[in-house]
Amino acid sequence: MLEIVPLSTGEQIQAPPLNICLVLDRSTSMEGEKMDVVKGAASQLMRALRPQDIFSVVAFSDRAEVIIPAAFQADRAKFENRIQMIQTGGATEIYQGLETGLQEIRRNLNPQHVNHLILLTDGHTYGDEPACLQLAEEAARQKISISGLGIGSDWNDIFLDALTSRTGSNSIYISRHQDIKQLLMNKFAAITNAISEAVLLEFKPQENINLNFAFRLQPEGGPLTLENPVHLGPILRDTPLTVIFEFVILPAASKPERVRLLDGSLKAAIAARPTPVPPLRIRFERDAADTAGDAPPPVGILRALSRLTLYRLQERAREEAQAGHYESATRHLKNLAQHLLSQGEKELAKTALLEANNLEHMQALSKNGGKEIKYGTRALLLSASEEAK
Amino acid sequence: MIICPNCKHSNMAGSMFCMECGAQLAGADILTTQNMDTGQGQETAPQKIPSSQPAAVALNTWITLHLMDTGQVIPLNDRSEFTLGRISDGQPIMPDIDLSPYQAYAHGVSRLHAVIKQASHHVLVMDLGSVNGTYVNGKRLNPNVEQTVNNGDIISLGKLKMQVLLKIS
Repeated sequence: MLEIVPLSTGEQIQAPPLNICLVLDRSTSMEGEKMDVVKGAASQLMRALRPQDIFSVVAFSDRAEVIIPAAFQADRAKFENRIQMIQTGGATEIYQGLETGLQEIRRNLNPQHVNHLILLTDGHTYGDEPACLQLAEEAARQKISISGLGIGSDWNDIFLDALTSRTGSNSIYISRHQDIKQLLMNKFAAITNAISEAVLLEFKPQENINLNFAFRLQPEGGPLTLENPVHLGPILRDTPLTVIFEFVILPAASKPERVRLLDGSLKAAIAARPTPVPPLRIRFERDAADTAGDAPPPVGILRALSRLTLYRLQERAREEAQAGHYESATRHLKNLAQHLLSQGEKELAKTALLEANNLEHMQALSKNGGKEIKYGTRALLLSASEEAK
Repeated sequence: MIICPNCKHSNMAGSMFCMECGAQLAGADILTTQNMDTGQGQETAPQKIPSSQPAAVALNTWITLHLMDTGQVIPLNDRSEFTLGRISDGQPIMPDIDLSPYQAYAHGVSRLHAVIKQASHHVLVMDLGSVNGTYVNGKRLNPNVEQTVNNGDIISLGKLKMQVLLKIS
C-alpha cells in the first residue's frame, strides 16, 4: 500500500486555477427531466467558479458543438442562457464530444492550471471506443484528466472506467437523475481541492516480479491501468492518495532473501508551484521466503483488502457472466452477498442476491443491478479509508 | 498454496483473502455468515404520499403496512384492531400479526410490541410497553398512550420500519 500525503508546511497552499470543460451528452435519450437537471447542474457549476477559472461547455450527440468557448467567464447570464438553449436529439458518439472538449481545454493549456474534462453521458457509444481511448492517452500526456459521470443504466461502465483511468481519474454512477447536481458539484469540489491532478508512477519491470493489480483506494476509488507509467490519480488537500498494489513473486525471484518488487519514480506536477517538483525515487522491497511467515499482515492493508476483495468478487462475477459462465458467476455473487451481509451492508447484499437470482434463472444481470453492485462495493472502499482515519 | 478453509479453493501463497469465496485467509477472525430474507413477498415501489391527506377513514377500509426495508406489504382487513409482535416458543399471548418473517427479532421487535386500531374515523397506534419502543415519524411514543397516525406516516417497531398506507374508499 502506497500513501502519498501532502506535507503541511504551515503555509496555506493556494488552490490552483481551473481550466475545465463540461462535455454534455445531448442525445435523444437525454430528453426531458434528465436534460433539464443537467442544464441546471451546469449553470450551478458555472456560478461556483472563481474569477481565475477558465470554463467551457461542449454538447454532443453524433456531432459536437461548443456551447461556451473556453474563457474566463464574464457574462454569466448570457452563457447560462446558452446552456438553457441546448436541445436534445441524435445518437451518442462520445468521440465527438471528447475531441471538441479537449480542443477547448488545449486553448489555454497551462501547467499552472488544473486541466480537467468532465464527461456526462447516459448512453453507449458505438464503434468509436478505441479512438476515444487514444484521445484519453493523448490527454494524459498533456496532463489533462478526464472524469466520467454515467447517468442511469444504459451507459458502458467498463468503457468509461478504461477511458478515465488512463488519465488517473474515475467514473461515477448516477442512478437517479435527481442526484446529478450533487454529484457534479462533489466532483467539482474535488477538482478545486486538488494539489496535484496527476501523479505518475514510472517503473522498471523487475525480473520474475509481476505487477498483478493496482487499485486507488482514495480519493475517488477506482482501478488503475497497469501500463507503464501508471497514472495513480490526484492528491487532494484534505485526502491523501492511497494506492494498493498486488505483486506476484515468481519462485525464481525468491532466492535472494530480499526481493525488490518495484524500482521507479513518482512524478507529480503541482499546479500552485511555479517550479517543477523533482521526481521522487521509489522502491518497494520485501523479505521473501519459500514459506509464508506467521507475522500478521498490517491492519490497514487487511482492512482495505477485505473491502477490495468484495469489489474483485463482483468484477469476477461480471466477467464470468459476460463470458457465459453463469454458474460460477452466480456462486461468486452469492459469496459476495454473504460477505456484504456480514459487514452490515444489507441493501447491497440484497441487490447482489437478487442479481445472483437473475443470473441463475435468466442468465443475465439487470442493467442497474450490475452497476449498483460495482459502484456500491467501490463506495465501501472509500468508507473503509474514512474509518481508517 | 493456501487452501481456503471455507471453500477448499487453492490460493496463491501470500494471499490474504480467498479469490474464490472472499474468506479471510490471513489474520485471525474467520468471517461469519447470516441468513437473510430475499423478499419473497409482494414487492412495491416506494410510495409517495401527499401529506395533506385527511386522517379520517371509513371503518371498512384496508390498512396496509408497507415494510420499508424489504418492500413487502401486509394488508390488514376484516377486523378493526390488530396487535403486532413476534411469536416465540412458550408465549402466553400471541400477537395478531407475527412479524418474525420480517426479521423482527433482529430489528428488536418485542413479542407483544404495539397495537394498531381504527376508532371513530381515525387510525391509532399504541405501544404496549415494548423494550425498544414504538416510533411514529421518528418520535418515540409513551407506552400505553394512543397516537393518531396519518396516511404515509412511518411507524418503527424497534428498528423495523413500516409505512402506513390507508386506502380511502
